[in-house]
Amino acid sequence: MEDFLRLERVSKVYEPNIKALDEITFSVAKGEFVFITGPSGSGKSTLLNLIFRAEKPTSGEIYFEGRPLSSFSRKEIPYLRRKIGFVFQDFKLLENRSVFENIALSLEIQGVPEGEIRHRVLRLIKRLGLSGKEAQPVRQLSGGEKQRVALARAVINRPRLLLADEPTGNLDARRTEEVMEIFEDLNAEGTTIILATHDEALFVDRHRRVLVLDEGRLLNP
Amino acid sequence: MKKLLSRTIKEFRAAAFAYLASTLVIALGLTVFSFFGLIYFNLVHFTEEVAKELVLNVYLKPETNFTAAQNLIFQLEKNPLVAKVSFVPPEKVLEDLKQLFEEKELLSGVEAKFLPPVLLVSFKDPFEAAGKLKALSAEIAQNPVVLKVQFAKSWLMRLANIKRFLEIFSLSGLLLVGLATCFVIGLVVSFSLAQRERELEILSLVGATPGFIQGPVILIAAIEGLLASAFATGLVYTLKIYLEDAIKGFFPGFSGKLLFWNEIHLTIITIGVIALCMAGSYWASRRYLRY
Repeated sequence: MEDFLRLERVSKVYEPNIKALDEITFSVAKGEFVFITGPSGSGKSTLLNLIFRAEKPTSGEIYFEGRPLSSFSRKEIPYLRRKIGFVFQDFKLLENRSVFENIALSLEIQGVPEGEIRHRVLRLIKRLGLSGKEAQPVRQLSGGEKQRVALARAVINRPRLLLADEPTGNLDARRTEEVMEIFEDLNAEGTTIILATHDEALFVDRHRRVLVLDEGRLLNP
Repeated sequence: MKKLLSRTIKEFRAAAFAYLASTLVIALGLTVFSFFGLIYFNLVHFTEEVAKELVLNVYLKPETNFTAAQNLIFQLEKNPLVAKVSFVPPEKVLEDLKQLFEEKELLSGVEAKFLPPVLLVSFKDPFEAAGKLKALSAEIAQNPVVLKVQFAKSWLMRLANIKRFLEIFSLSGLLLVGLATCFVIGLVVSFSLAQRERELEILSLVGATPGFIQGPVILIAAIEGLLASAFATGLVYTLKIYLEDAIKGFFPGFSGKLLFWNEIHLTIITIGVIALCMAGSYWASRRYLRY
């Protein structure tokens, strides 16, 4: 069976000569939940950025659903990104817009009818414990709330692949558990998930594949 | 289209102050360009009008009969440089002289029959004719009814030089002001979008197409260009009226009316500014898209 996601000898070098990733090779099957761990600066965020096509690898190739990412034209990239949800470490939310507007953004750009947007966004807001904050500007939210808004925006259009970069970094233990439950539910519904974290507690006892990065190298391919 | 308009309104509301401020700056830049353009345009036009007043005087022998004068008029009118030939009879010459001299005794005893009739030859383009006047007057002088040919060559050459200077000065000046205006428009559009860099980046990261992101931004830029052109045109027109009042009777030969841009000029300026704003907006927003 064809791999859902495959990285072949992917390297990323930043100017002048900083090797962020070194010949990374691994595959992810459809529906899998994979953790990527490693210390700060080990290349976790860079790896997710490359998969999301926010950056291009210096060498090597990434295949998504069998197609090399290097073959995607500038015009095709937005459509690729609609299949991939991304929970950014710095959230990347529109601070002056409301919670509702931020979450609805992913659907709006796809031309989903307003009624359906409203229905789906409000349902997700409720599920993530953000009820009552729909109209509140994001800048007024706590770090944990922003984290959940970022997660909601990433999953609202039911992506085939969900990338999450330290998605529990700003959450307390109870909220962390709630968010991880949401990830588990999404995975159970068929979404493939790659979650980058330096927090071992997140993947211990979860019986999921864990890829370990250190100084840009994959220690357990 | 309806969705694009609604997104454009939303986009405008999100940064209304920045868009209004940039429209104003573009309008002021354009006003400076348009005003100086108009001044240069009028100066060149005024020089041309003054030059048209300078005619070639062909003095005929006093005994010249009307038919001989008529033949010379026909001959001169055939010349492609010539716009008009007027015949001034000796009686009119005497009358003009009497009006010219305050001391009436000076002309006492002077009879019209001793005065030469004159042909006044005006040219379609005096500056084009200036270079050929010497040869033309020599040719006219050979006609047996012609007494003398006289023209204000030095004045015409001076005016031609002034016109050439104004053309070079106005073209290079306009080019500089035009480039400065382009720079201002590009900079203002770029600055207004730089404030929204993060927003444009986020939109491109969540899967918005370049058209979705840039469409409203470019449409607003087009509206900015249109409003700025209208504002600048209105302001320059007001300045023109004020100037007309201020310089009325200031220059001899000046009619007191300044020329204003015609429909073609206004269309070119408006379309140019709109295109410039749209292009500036396209390139500035393109920089912030993460594809």
